Amino acid sequence: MKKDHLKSYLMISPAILGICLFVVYPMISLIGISFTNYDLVRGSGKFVKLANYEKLFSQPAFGEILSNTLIYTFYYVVLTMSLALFFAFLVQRSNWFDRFVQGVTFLPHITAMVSVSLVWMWLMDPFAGFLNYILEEWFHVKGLQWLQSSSTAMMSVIIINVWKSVGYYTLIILSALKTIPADIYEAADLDHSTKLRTFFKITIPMISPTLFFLLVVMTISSFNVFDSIKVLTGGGPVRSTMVLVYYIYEYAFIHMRLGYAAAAGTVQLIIVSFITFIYFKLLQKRIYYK
Amino acid sequence: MGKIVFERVVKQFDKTTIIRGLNLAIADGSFTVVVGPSGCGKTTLLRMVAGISAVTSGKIYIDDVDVTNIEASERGVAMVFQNYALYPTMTVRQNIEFGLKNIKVPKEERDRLIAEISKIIGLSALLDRRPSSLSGGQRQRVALARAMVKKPKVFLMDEPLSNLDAKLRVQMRTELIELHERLRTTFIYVTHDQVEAMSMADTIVLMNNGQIIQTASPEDLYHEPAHIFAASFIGTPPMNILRCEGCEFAVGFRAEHIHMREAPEDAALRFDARIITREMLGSETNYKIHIPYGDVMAKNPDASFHPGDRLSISIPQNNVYLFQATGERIPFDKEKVRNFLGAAEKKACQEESTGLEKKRDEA
Repeated sequence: MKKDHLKSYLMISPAILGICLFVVYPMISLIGISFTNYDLVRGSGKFVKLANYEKLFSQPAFGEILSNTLIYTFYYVVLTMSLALFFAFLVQRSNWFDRFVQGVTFLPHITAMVSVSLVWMWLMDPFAGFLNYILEEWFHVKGLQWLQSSSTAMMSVIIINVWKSVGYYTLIILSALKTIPADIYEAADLDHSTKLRTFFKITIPMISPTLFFLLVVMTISSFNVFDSIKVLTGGGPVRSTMVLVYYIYEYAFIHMRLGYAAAAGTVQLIIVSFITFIYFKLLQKRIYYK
Repeated sequence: MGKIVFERVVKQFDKTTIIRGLNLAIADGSFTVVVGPSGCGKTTLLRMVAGISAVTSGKIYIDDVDVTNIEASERGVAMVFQNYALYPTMTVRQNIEFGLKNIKVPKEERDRLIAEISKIIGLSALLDRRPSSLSGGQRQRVALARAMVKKPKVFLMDEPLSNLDAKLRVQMRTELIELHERLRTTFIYVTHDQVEAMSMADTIVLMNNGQIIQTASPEDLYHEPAHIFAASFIGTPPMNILRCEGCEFAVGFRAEHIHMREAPEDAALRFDARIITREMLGSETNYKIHIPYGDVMAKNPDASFHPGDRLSISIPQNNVYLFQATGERIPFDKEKVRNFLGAAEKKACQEESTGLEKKRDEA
């Protein structure tokens, strides 16, 4: 028995080594650096205890950045999840039209964020953009400033990111929907169930493991939003789209203050872990596993 | 009440016709078993009664009401699905309760009904379990309870026992018969297993290729098959059929009617024979016997014959069935049988009972 154990560990040791090297070590090192004033220019730093954290929490901007991140995450997750569910429901049959739509909704996912951003920047241009053209010519509403106003920039970024990822999540939900046997729906029909009741009482519970997984993945990915912000707004105007990862990026690679950035990164790590933990606590009992 | 009438019902999927102009009346309170090989349209028939499959043309009546275009839920029928179709996310209680909640039955009434049904079906101890933690037989019971609690006019069952092991299947068969005795509602039961059909039905509807071959009681279907298909589908082993290329008739007789020792006085057929195989089943023994027209199956309480034994077998006149080459049964006629045997001998007739048996097993 013991020999077998040893053999098993030996077999998975390359994977464990990889995880230690590329996941565990960087994380520990991140936390370690957050207690130093490590500077990329000097290439060295010394232990400063909690100074970075003290500075981080004393900055008024940091609260704003946290709230930006949470707002982004909230709207992104809610919108992407509900739209993906909605689309998956609309196109779940396997006729040519539905398959075509399934393919098309997936396209934004395989397009580079930078290209997508450029197209949307044109669409959202306050003067020559297509969206304002529609608003003004078709609906006779005053056009918006979109990415160029601090009041609409966050909304615009959310719209673009939801648009880009909704097709991908639609496909995942679709594959979960297809695992529900048809006779369960027929039984529900015979049980006088309305479409809406069938959806909430049968469909949603049956795909709940997938939905839960997507919720966790979406939350984590929205906490890490960076590329679209970098291209679209650079965190502006007036910090209105400044999210945590972008803030970390600025401090690490523009101001070269690695210690300070690492402290912000550690805070992000803690927040994401905490939210995931809450998800598990609140929802796990309501998830149906086969 | 629960009388069902099909009037010239046709069902097509894309361009394939599954049911071809079917007329059938199912009596109120009957235990009707629809039996036939796979793809004969029996499940489609059931689904059309339930309303989960649309009729291409024709009409279906339940208690003289035309339900052809009425929603499944409004037809007053309940269905037990082949794979049970239980709601896996719900407990047994919630599964049974779901249909009642949907029609807004008050809580006390629901509790009373569930208690009553689960006592009858024997589920009381399992009400808080999930379907995934139940055995096949228990799931079957939940499916039954879920159907029963709605007090339907008609029970539809689509091969409900096919996923159970052999022993449990036999036990559930008896329980279903008892249940029908107790409820006295119309049962329509679909199966491909002729043993299930014979043991439970008061009326059997035998189908093939989207058409009804014969509707009769199990006794009549066994003893008076109207068609060569009925003769060779029902019975273990199925009826021996002798036929030959180009012959006008086919001759059939059942395995248990073969006399293997002295010939009866009214023997209509007599063959020199040799035993090929022997299967001792306890109270009786099946023999595969070679006769000049091919191989036939015989069933006899006498187990003393052995492979290689030579003997003379004979079949009494009133146990010999005569069919037209197209399959329809025709009255027994000595002259025709004699002609058949003469013609068959000449044309080195091929006996097909084993071929037919294979076909039935595949089905």
